[in-house]
Amino acid sequence: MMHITLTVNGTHHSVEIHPGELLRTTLRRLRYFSVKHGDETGESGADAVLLTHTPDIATSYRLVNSGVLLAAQADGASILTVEGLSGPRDHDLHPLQEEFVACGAIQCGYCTPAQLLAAKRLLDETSTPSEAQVREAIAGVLCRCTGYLKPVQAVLRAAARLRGEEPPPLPLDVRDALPTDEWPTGDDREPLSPAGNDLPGGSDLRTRTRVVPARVVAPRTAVVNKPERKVDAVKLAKGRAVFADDMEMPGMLYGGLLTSPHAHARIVAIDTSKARALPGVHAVLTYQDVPRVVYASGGQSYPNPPPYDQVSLDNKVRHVGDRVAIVAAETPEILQQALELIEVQYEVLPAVFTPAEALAPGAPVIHDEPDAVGIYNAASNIAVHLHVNHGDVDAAFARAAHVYESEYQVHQVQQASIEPHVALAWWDEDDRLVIRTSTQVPFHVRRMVAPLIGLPVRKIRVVKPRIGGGFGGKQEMLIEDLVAHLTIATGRPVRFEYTRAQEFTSARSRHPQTLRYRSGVDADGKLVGMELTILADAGAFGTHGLTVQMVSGFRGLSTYWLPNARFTCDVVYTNKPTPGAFRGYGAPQALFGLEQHMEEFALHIGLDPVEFKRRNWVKVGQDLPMAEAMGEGREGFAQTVRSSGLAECVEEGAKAIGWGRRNDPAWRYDPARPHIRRGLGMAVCMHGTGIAGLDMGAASLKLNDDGSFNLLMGATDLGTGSDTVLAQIAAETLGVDLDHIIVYASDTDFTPFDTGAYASSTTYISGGAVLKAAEEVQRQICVHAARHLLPGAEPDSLWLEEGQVKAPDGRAVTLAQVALHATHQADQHQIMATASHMSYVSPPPFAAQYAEVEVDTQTGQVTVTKLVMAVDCGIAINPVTATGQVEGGMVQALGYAVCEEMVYDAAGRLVNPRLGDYRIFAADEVPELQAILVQTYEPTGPYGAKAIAEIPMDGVAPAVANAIYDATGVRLRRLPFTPERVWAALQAG
Amino acid sequence: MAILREYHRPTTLDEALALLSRRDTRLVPLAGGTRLVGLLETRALPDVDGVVDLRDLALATIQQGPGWVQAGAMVTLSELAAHPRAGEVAGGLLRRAVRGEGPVNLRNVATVGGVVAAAEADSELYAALLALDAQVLFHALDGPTAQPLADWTGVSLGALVTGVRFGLDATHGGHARVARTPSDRPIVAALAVAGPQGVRVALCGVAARPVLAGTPLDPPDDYKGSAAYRRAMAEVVHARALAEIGATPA
Repeated sequence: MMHITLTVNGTHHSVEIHPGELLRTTLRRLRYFSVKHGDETGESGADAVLLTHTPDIATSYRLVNSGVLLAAQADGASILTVEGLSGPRDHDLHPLQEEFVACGAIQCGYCTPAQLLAAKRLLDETSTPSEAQVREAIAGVLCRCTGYLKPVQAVLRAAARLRGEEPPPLPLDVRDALPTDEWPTGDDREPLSPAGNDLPGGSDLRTRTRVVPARVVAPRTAVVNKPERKVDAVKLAKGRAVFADDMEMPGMLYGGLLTSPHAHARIVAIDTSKARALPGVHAVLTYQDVPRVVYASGGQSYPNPPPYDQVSLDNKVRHVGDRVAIVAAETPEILQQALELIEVQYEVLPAVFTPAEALAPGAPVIHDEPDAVGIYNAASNIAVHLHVNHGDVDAAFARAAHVYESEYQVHQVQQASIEPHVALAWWDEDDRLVIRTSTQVPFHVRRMVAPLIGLPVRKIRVVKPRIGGGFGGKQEMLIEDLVAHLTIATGRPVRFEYTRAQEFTSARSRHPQTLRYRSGVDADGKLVGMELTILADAGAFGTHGLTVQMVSGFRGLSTYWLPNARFTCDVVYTNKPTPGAFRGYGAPQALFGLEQHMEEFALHIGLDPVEFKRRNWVKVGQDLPMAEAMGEGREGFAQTVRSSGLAECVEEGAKAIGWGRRNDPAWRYDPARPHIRRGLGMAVCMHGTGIAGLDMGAASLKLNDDGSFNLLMGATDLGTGSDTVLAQIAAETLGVDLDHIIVYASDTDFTPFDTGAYASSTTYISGGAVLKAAEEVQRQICVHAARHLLPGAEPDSLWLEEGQVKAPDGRAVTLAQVALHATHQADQHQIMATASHMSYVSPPPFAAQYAEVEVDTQTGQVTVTKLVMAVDCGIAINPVTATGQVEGGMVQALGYAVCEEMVYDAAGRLVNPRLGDYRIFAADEVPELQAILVQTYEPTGPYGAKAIAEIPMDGVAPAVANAIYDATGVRLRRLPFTPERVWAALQAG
Repeated sequence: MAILREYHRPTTLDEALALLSRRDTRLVPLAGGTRLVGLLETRALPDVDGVVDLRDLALATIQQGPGWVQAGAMVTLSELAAHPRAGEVAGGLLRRAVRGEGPVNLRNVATVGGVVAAAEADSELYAALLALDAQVLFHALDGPTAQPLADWTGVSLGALVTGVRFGLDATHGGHARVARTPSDRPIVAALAVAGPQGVRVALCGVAARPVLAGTPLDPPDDYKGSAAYRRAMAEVVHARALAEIGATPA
């Protein structure tokens, strides 16, 4: 141990440290929890702080990553963290914090403290930074949520405020898809509800389709459809201790995982004696120490889709990074030493790394365990087989005027949320196990972890605090069983966190696929049938393997209306890290193929690709024939499109990207740079909104003395702003300002059920529940007010507005008066309601994605210079959070298109398990982004809303591919478009 | 998780060298740490027992004389780029080259000595120093010495890089690169300078460490680029870097 001094935010600290201790670790031990762990190699920048050894010189502070600096190196330094940026109260905000909140620059908020410090350093240096300077200043702080547009806006606006200028209004591009779509009149005070016919207690699950008045008048709303500030933005801007790891418990142990160095091996022997003998080690658990219970780890509804091919700890490993043993120890150093002291004897088995190898005769059988359940054909390594047929494709092709066939390959990418998977578990005072975890699915986790750890559900409480991004990676019961096993074994609180390398090798990723499309058209260019055949790589386990591929089939065969369609898919085990849920969930794969296939087909038969797509895309009133056959691992439900702004999206997007420049040689060729070719591409996108007939959310609303409401809900905000969106729905319905809704969510003890944050369901499904609960509370309020406070009024004639109950005759009482009266004075009762919502329809959001590229024909380097997405998400409950989804999603999708890729060596070891080598986009290299919301009114959605979360992930890769083709005439059917791959294609001509 | 038993911060070079020469324990020099600490934290260097922090060796200054600049090993990349003479040499080539070493929060800590000692295959700053015909200065137990960076093959045991020195006569700089994304480390890059001494071009991404153009190439073969691709790109970026300074390939 050694001794150092640090001055943090003006406070002097004298600290004992280990020689190898990171400054980040020391700062967090000192409870500066705003300093975040993003990785071990300094590339995330989530741990950046301002540091100087000469504090007397105010400008000498430098932005440094505290995770690649030893605490000893910082001995004597003065440090500024976000905790020191402003005072403790909500209203104490630095102008940067103020603008980050106002601009919607904060999604999950995990990288926000470091971004704020980076920006502060810049503004200390210059009061008039350029956009390029802002981008460079924050480039070392990676953000996976925002696409950086709003953070950059926020910094520029804060600079203006610091100069004493009033920044301009927030730029928001929201248009209404007029006149083809139908708005409610807003005059009839009929609730704009998907609910209707609620049973008492709100347990009704039916969805009513409202007939929308044909007259076109924008709805009158006070809170909904407004750019309200996120309800959690201030605490995130202040770097408060709100994430899973931001707490300390007395006696807490550090948990960790020993992973397999082999792609396929049997564990012949494990000797844990040396590890156990190390002082400070409290548990070392292997397959010999925990019950063997088979499960599927995907966080999905009961009963989980098969196969059940995992156990907590096994005597066989199936990929490099697979689980071998877990340890709990008193310090991270002891934990690491103990992990290294475990002696494992492996019998190394032959391994397979592609579906083709895995399907070959004589291939090693990856799941030879006898107790796995629901594997389609274990002996042949086929986890799942899908075959769905609609109509008669073969007959349609036989009659078709033209048939076209093409094949595409998509690769494996990782969600790369900046916050790794992290969970804390402890026994509470009632001997119940509490798991505080960074998850998208707290209720699924509780149900799924129970049998694995041998506790009944009633003995488990799962809490989701703020989480630092998920993108599907946390739609998984991934580490909760491990932390629970360690807590049960030791009786002590345990903190368990993945390293960044483990995020890549031992968490989840996106399924690689080979997709073959074959389709036929009639003489008018109308599709008569389409066939999609997919060979998918499940990796070592089948989690999400069925449903992701089902969505690929559904998306591939539903975006364009098909009288005949056929989907065939094998999902095959390999000895690679396991894919799972990743934003888009099969759709990015399907659309990468489909949107090129359609364009290729159009050119093949001499049609304009956009016109060909327009003729064939699904339109209002059309049904989705594949929906009924393809549900989420079970039968689905018939779907009819009731709202679509797709035609307007295509038009608006074309205008924004300058589509006409495709035909302008002066633009396409740059005489100053003769090796550069410019091109434009587009892709049509269609997604879903929740899983029909399955996803359910529930919410409770409770009136307080002062006319505020507690909104308790299971819905799981992973940084998207869903807590805010749902609170806006409640506030609108209850006629109060947003600050009168107090949100508490995602706690299995205190909130009702919700399936969780996935499948683009939260606004629509959970929002439906909030709307129903709010309507019921509204009814209770009106009944009580009419009976006691507004005598003579009919309850049905009253409405809530501006915190009051108002009557047609002009009388009004405040909600506070109603609350106090109902609680204390007469008919005493708690005004409160709980409601659930489930929907048999999943109305598709639509979008047009455009990309502008420059291709360097000598090097193959593709530079995407602009991305435009025009999205019909119905009514945007919050246009700022909605555009934030689009901007951030496009940048993630751009990584999928051009640089992100999990790469393996011949032994199945990932060669780039770190953020820099894997490469996610930084602030100073993202293209110009434009998100356009083209609003329609979805009659089944709360206040007309549809989903927006995933669709931004779907269209960038095919749009970029089409743009490269436009620029060069070369068609790239394989992702990602790295320089060498493009160069090779150009060479091949 | 880094597991170190020792941390030393000597105040003299001899003290530092004595520590680094110890046989009873394996100590490694610690400059900024942006690379080393990550290697320790990920256990890529599991046998290291401790570090010798070079912070207090007075190596963090930039000196200049008639026609030359000397940057101490502990000068950060940000300081180097911001220095009026060093930053301006060859039309600001070093300011451009440091960007390839990482974003500002890393450049604020990463050091000139660290970049030279690590000699990473894709280091554009190292290539720029090669093109500038820099001398690497080091200190061994028998005293300070210097060597042209182009002849240098790495730190020998018992020696420490103390700085680099380069002339200021280069008037133009050229820089061309191929990368997956605009701010990514390069797959292949060329850095060229022109001045009274003539034209010099260095390449990175084409051998185990950056090399002067004309040296036989031995390109890495990995997921960012095959050896064949890197060879082909070496020609392209070489020509482009020359074109920027108005020269043509020999």
